[in-house]
Amino acid sequence: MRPDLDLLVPSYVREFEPYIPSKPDPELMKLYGCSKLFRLNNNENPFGPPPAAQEIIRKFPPPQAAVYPSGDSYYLRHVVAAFHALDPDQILVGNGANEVITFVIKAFCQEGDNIITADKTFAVYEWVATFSGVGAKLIPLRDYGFDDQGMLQAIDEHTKILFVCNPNNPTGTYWSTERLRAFLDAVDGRQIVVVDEAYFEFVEQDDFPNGIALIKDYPNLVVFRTFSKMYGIAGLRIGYLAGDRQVVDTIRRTCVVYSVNTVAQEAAVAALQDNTGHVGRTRALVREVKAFLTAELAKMKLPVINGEGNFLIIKLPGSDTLAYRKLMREGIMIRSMTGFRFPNHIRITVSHMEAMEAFVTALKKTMAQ
Amino acid sequence: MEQTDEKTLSLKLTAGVEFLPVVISFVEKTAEILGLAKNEYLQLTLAAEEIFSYLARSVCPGSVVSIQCFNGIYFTKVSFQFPVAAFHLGGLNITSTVSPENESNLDEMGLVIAARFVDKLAITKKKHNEVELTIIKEKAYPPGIAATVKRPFAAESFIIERPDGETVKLFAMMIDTYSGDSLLPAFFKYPGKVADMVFSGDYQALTAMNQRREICGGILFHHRNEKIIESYGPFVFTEEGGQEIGVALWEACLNSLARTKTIGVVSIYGLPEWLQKDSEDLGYFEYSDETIASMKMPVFYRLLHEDPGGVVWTDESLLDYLRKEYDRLFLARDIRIVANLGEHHGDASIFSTEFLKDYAQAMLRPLWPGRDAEKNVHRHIQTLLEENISNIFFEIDSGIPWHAELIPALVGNGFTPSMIIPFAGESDLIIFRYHAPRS
Repeated sequence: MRPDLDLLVPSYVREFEPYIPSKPDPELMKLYGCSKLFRLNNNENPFGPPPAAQEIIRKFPPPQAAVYPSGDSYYLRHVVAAFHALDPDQILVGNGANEVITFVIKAFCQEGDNIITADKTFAVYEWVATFSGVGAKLIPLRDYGFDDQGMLQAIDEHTKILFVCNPNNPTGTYWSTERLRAFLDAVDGRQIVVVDEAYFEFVEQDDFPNGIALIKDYPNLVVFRTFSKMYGIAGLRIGYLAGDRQVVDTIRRTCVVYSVNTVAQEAAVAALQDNTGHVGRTRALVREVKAFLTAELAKMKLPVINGEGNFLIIKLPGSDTLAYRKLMREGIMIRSMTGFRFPNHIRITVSHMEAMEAFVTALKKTMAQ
Repeated sequence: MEQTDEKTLSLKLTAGVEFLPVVISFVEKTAEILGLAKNEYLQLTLAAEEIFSYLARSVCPGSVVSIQCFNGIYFTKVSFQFPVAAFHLGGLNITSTVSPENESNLDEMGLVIAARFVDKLAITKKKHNEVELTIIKEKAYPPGIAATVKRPFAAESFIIERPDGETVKLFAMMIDTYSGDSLLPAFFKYPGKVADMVFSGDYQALTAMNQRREICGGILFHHRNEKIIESYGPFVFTEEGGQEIGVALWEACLNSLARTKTIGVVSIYGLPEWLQKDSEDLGYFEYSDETIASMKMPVFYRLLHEDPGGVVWTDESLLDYLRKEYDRLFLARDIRIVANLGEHHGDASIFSTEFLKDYAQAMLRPLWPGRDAEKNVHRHIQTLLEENISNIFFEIDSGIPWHAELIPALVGNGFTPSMIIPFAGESDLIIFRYHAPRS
């Protein structure tokens, strides 16, 4: 007999629309009839991992796959802690930043509580809250940036966490150190403040804050970092959070141990210890490509939202989801932005010049269709 | 009998004519308490009487039938649920046992007669191997007074908000006064009804308000099915600067649907020309009746998600049409041909029929496959034409292989494909329209 899912499944799960990831590249290429596919949709680093991390991946001994990984990413936590001058117990590693988002919401929220974030930002804070029976208050962006005053005004007695994506994905706007400190002062420890710094390593502005350095002053601050963007190991799924020791100890109770595989842990260590100039090389590419893209898009009279990070947003004269399909036929995969509440916008990942030139050519062609 | 929730009263009994008075009394009293006027609740009761009697005599005698009366605020819905294992599900075809030449059989024309008394009749396959037959009777509302509505001043700035009930009524009156669109549904002439439609939660409204708190524009939308939203508007009432207001309303509508189960927005009732480039032209619904020779309603579509591609099934005869349409719409589809290689099908196919009185329309949908599909399609056409339903559509789901097996029966009976609605079912829905042969 089949289970009665209406009875078994909580309404907040039943009503939740699961995210449907795109099909593997070969399937998409077959469906769309293209012989080559440039992935410009997930803000991946076109250089891949730093050389030492690549070496780890290449040389991983197959028999070691039979052995469980370190359950709490022991060595990696020590390296990350040393990198940030923290105690290893202030670090919690997860299977990508998505997993640590789940840890934090599970640790602090129960049904009836709420989190506060922006309406047009990384979707996973809202998703995890929603399918956990936790409310998500979404504050509209102001000038494409997180609205600090709006978020503070939205706090109520059920608010447990405020999520700030800094710089914001997808707009690339950021809060300065001064603004972040003022926000944390206003919250005054009453709620947990999560600052997601997935794109931290791409930002070169002097006033951009290092959230991890602020933890000593604000024990309610939790900072996310990922190895998926700058460090190019998105395929291995690894990210971490840093916070006050007591706060991290609380979050650790909801943490699934052994969720991070051995290759990911070792590659992450090598990535952090890279001395080949991987970060500088990537930043230089981002600068060069953004200059090229913004010039080309200006010629096409297409408005651009170009902030920090290895991506930018383009406003199209028509549907972004239709543009996605047209560009796929040309072998270009972009992110349509209706799901980010930016209808008729697309987000482009900065990649090698070959891909960028192909994108510009394809965009011109599809706009003429 | 029990009250399932504050909007629903339920009755469970055996399908037997001896229980007919119970059903009549239950539906009549409940519909009266739920707010239908006398004429309306009597008509709903007559329809329910026809249906229960028909179920008891012809479809599922002796089976347990669950009857629910639901207060939809602006309508009352009566639903009959019974198991698929009923004796004679073929009776759910509206054509079943119809013998117009034989007056003595009129008492067995249950579903057709029931459909005459109500605003909507539909049959759907439910979970847990159950079938649900629903009838809907809408409340009568007084028409709005157009003369009381003034055109707003041009908006220097505006905000978009979810309106309260009074604002919704005003919005509806402004649409009726200023839109000048003859294709709009009749409910816009009844502002109280539109307010109740929004209050019920079935419909959502957004309005653009200027600094004087005047309504500069608005948009109304509701779920056509679980995945597809149908929109009305955006309507703009200012004489200048309308495009900016309309675009903002449209984007606010799309933003409210982002990260929900909705996959697409369909606009049938006049998407403004300056928004049509944001959408995809699916084709048009063509209507005709005794007074209007032919009325074409263009259908625009806005996909909210990235197209992950998918498999669709078809008969070979529709292959060229699908290839052209999917190419035109840039949809990635692996089109596969179905072929009946002698495998077993039951004798009797079953189609559900959804009547929409406003447009003299019937939408047919396949419920069960059967060897008699071609004849069954023909019988449905004859029955509907005899009921003066001239706008006959047939909807198949290209994600369900056996639906594709019906295509030759449809084409052979005068149906032609008129549009594809992407992702509106298991996969895309293909809508066929019936065209009577020229005499």
